[in-house]
Amino acid sequence: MDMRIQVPKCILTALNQLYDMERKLAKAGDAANITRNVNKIRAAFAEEGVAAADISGGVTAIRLVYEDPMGQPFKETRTDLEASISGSGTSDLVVVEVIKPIIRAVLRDGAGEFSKVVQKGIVVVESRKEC
Amino acid sequence: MGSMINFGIDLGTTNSLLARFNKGEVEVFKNPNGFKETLPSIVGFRNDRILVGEQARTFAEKDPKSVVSQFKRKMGTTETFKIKSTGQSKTPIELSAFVLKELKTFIRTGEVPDAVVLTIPASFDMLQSNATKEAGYAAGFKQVVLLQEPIAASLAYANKEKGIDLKNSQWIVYDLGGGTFDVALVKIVQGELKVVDHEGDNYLGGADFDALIVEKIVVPALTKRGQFKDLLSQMRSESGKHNRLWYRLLSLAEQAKIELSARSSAEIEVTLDDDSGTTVEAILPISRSEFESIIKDSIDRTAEMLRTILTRNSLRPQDLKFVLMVGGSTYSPFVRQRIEELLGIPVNTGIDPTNAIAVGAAYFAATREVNLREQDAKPTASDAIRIRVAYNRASQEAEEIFSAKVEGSTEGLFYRIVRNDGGYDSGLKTLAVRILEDLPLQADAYNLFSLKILDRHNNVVPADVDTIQIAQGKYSVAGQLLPEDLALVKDDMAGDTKLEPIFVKNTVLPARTKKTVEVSKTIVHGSDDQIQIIVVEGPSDNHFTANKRIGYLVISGKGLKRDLMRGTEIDLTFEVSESRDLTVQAFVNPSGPEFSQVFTPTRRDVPAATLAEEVRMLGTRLEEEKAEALASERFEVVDHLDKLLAPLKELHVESGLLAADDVTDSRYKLEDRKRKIAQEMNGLIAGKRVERLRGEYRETKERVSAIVTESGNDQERRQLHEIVAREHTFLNSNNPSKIEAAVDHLDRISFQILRRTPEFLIGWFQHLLEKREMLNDQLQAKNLIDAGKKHVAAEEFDRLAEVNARLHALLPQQVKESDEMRHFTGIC
Repeated sequence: MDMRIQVPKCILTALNQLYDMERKLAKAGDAANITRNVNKIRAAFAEEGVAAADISGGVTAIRLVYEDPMGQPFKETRTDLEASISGSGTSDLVVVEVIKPIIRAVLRDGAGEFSKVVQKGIVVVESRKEC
Repeated sequence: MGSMINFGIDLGTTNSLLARFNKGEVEVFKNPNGFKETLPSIVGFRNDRILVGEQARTFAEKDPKSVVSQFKRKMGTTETFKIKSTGQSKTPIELSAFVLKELKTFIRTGEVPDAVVLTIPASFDMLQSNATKEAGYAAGFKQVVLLQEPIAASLAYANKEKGIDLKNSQWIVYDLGGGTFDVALVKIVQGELKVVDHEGDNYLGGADFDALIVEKIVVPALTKRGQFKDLLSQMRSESGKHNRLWYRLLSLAEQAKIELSARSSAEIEVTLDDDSGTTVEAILPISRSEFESIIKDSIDRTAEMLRTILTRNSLRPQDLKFVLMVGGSTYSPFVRQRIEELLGIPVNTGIDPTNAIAVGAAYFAATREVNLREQDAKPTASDAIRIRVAYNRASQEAEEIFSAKVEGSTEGLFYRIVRNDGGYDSGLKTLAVRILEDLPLQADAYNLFSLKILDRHNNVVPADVDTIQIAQGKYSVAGQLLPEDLALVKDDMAGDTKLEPIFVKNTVLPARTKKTVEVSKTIVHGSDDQIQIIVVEGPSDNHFTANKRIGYLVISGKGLKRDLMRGTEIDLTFEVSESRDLTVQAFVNPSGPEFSQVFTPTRRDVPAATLAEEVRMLGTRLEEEKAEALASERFEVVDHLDKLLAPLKELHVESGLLAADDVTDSRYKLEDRKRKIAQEMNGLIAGKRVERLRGEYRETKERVSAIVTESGNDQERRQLHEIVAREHTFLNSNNPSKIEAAVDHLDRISFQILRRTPEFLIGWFQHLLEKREMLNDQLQAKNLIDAGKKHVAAEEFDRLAEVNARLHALLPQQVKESDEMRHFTGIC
C-alpha cells in the first residue's frame, strides 16, 4: 500500500503544541481546569478528523492522534522516531526525552482502519544502563 | 531517437536526492518513510543489517566504527572504512552504492531506471569522478553520466526562468548546505556551461550554526539563571551530567534557526535542574540579530573564498550577473544580505536551495539519450524464490517472531521487511535459507508488513510471499466484538432525524468514545422541555425507528438551574463494557450539571411518551412515503405500505393509552411491534433516498461544471476536480449524508463563483432592499443603501459586494437563519 499522506504543517504544529500543553499541565497542575479544553481539542482531531490532501485519492477526512514515546525502547529498526543518543552506550536504548511526539493519521478503507506515521517523534535516547 | 535518461541524482556529502523529468516537469521523489526529499548519505552496519539514511544517522556519532558518513570526501582514494560489526572493510564506492540503491526505493512510480545522471562537486578530479561512476554501476545502473553540481544548479535556474538570457555572462554558484560549503564560478564557453574556478570548505554548514546557537546564546543565558559548573562541557561530554540536554538543545536550536529565516525572533524553552537541584525553567528569546552576530564570522569566511575566486580570475563584482544561492543554509536572509553587502553582487534566490542540484540533474538527464553498455545489458534475473513462513497471526505481545524457510538460490540476495504504517524497517539483510526476525507490533492494530527479496542492485526479485499480517491486541479472537452499530439519534435539517454512529459493528469491547452535540432548541429551566439522548443498535444508515433502542437519557428543564441556550455544547461520553453494558454520560457546558446513566441489555428503557411520539413520527413518514410512491407510480410499494397502515393505527392507539408509570412489559412489546413495522417500511423504501441523492448529485455536477468552466478560477477548478475524482467512493457508499455533503460542496463552489457576478450582486442588493424595514440600524442602513445604489449605477461591483455584506449583517438573527427545523431529540 503506497499511500502518501500530507498533513498541513499548521495542523502538526497545533498538535505538537497541544502535546506540550498536556505535558505541562501534568507537571505543573491545572488550576484553571484547562485539561478539559486540551482533551476536547485532542479528541476533535482524534475522533472527528480533519480534511487532508491525499495524493492517491479516495480519502476525505483523516483522524490524527499523537503518541508519547517516553520510556519506550529504541532500536535501529524503528522508523517512527528521530533519535539522538545521549551518553556513551548504544545498546538497550530507551527514550528519555521527547521533543516532539509521534503523530499518526488514522484512515479507514474497505478493509478497515489503518494508520500512517505523518510526523516522526523527535527524541533523545539513552542506554538503560546509564539511565 | 531513443529514450532519455530522465533520472538525476544529487549524491551529496551530507544528503542525497533523486529527481525525475517527466513531460516538461521535474518531480523530486520523497522518502516513503518520513516523506523527506533528502536521504542522509550515511550507511550503518548494525546487528547484521545494513541501514541507510535516517536510521543510520542516529548512530553515526556514537558508533562510528560501524556507521559511516561523509565518505564522499574519500572518493577516489584507496582509503577504506573498517566496519567493526561485520569485520569487513567497505570502500567509499561501495558505501555510495548503498545510498544510490536506497534512493531507488524513493521512486513511487515503480520504474527501475537503467541510466542516471549523478552530480559531482566542481572540485572532483578524474579519479574521484571515475569512482563516482563506479558507485553508479555498483548500484545497478547500466549507464552513468556525471554532471558538476554548480552546472546542475545553474540548469535548475535556467529552466525555471525560461525567459532569462545567460549568453555572454558569468555568475557564481554559492552552495552552503548542512555540512559543507562550495563556491564556483560558472560561465558559458562556446555555448556550453562550464565551471571556471571553485573553492570550498568541507567543514562548514548549517549543523555548525545550530551548535553555535547552543554554545553562544543558550548556555550563557542558562548559566545566568541557575548554578552550573561548566555547563557546556557537562553537556558536550558523553559522561557529562547534562549530555541529554545537548541533543535536546541542538534539536530546538535547529527549529529556532528555521523560524528565524521567516521571523525576527524565536524562542527556546527549556527546563532542567541546576547543580544545586533547583529547577530552572527558561524561555530564551533569540533575536534574528543575535543569531546573525554569531554566524557572521562563518559567512564572512565564505565571502572571502568568493573574493579569492574573483581575484584569481581578475574579475570585478560588476562582471558577474548574480550569485545563485543553493543549499539549505541559504534560506537565512542574513546569508543573502551579507554576501550582497560584502561583494556588491545581487544574490539570486530563484530556485529551491534544497533540491536545486537534483532538479538540475534531472533537466540535464532529459537531454541525454539512454545508451546502455553492452556487457551490462544482461538481465539480473534469478531463479524464482519460494518462501515458507511461520508466525502468529494474532498476538498480545509487543513483538512477534517471524520465521521463514527459503527455497531456491539465495546467493547475492537480500531481504527487507517494512511495516506499512512507517514505524519499522529491518534494513537490508543478507538472505539465507532461514529468515528469523523480531517484528515490533503497533498496539491494538492490524499490522501489515511487506517482505521484499532484493538482488544486489536493490531490484525486487519475485517471491511467492510478500506480505506479513499480524493482528495485535484488540483484534485477538479473545476480544468481544460489538455485533451491530451503536448510533446516536440527532435532529437533521430536513425535519427528520439522522443516526450518527458511536461505535461501528465489530468494534472490540470494551470501548469508549466521546461526542460533542449542540442543543438545537432552547430549554427553559423549570419547564417540561427536554433533550433526549437516544442510543440505538442496528445499521447506522437505517432510520432510527427501525433499530433497537438500547439507551435513553433525558435532560429536562426541571433538572436545570438555568436556561440551556440553543447552540450550547453537550459533551457525551459513551462506554460499552465487555459484557456490553452501555454507559452514557452527558456534561452540559457551561452550566455544569452532569447526567449519567448505565444501560444494560437486560433492562431496556422505553419511556411511554417517547414511544407514542415515535409511533406518531412513523405514521407521518409512512404517509409521506406512500404519497411519494403514488406520485412516482410505484404501485407495488403503495400496496405494501397500505398493509402496514392498519397495524400502525392500532399501535398508535395502544401507545397513546399507555400510562407513563405502567409497570407491565406492555411498552416493550409495543416497541418491538413499532420496530418491526419500521423495519418493513425501511425495506420497502431502502435506497430510495440514496437514489434520489445520486440523481441530485449528477444534476448539480453538470450545472456546477458548466459554471466553473465558464467563470471559475484555478482553485475552484481544482476543488471541482477533487470532488469528481472521488465520486465513486461516496456514490457507492449507500450513505446519504456523504452524497449530501458532496452536493453541498458543489453548491458552495457555484455560489462562490456566482456571488462574484454583477447579476447576483444586484439581485442580492434588491432582496436586501425589500427587507429594509427589518434592518437593525435604520440610519446606517440608509447610508449603505444610498451607497449601494451609486455602486450599481457606476458598476462598481466589488464595492457593491461590501455594501451587501454589511447590510446582511444588519438583518435580525431569525431572518438570517429562517429556522424551520423540527425538533425531536433537541440535539444536532
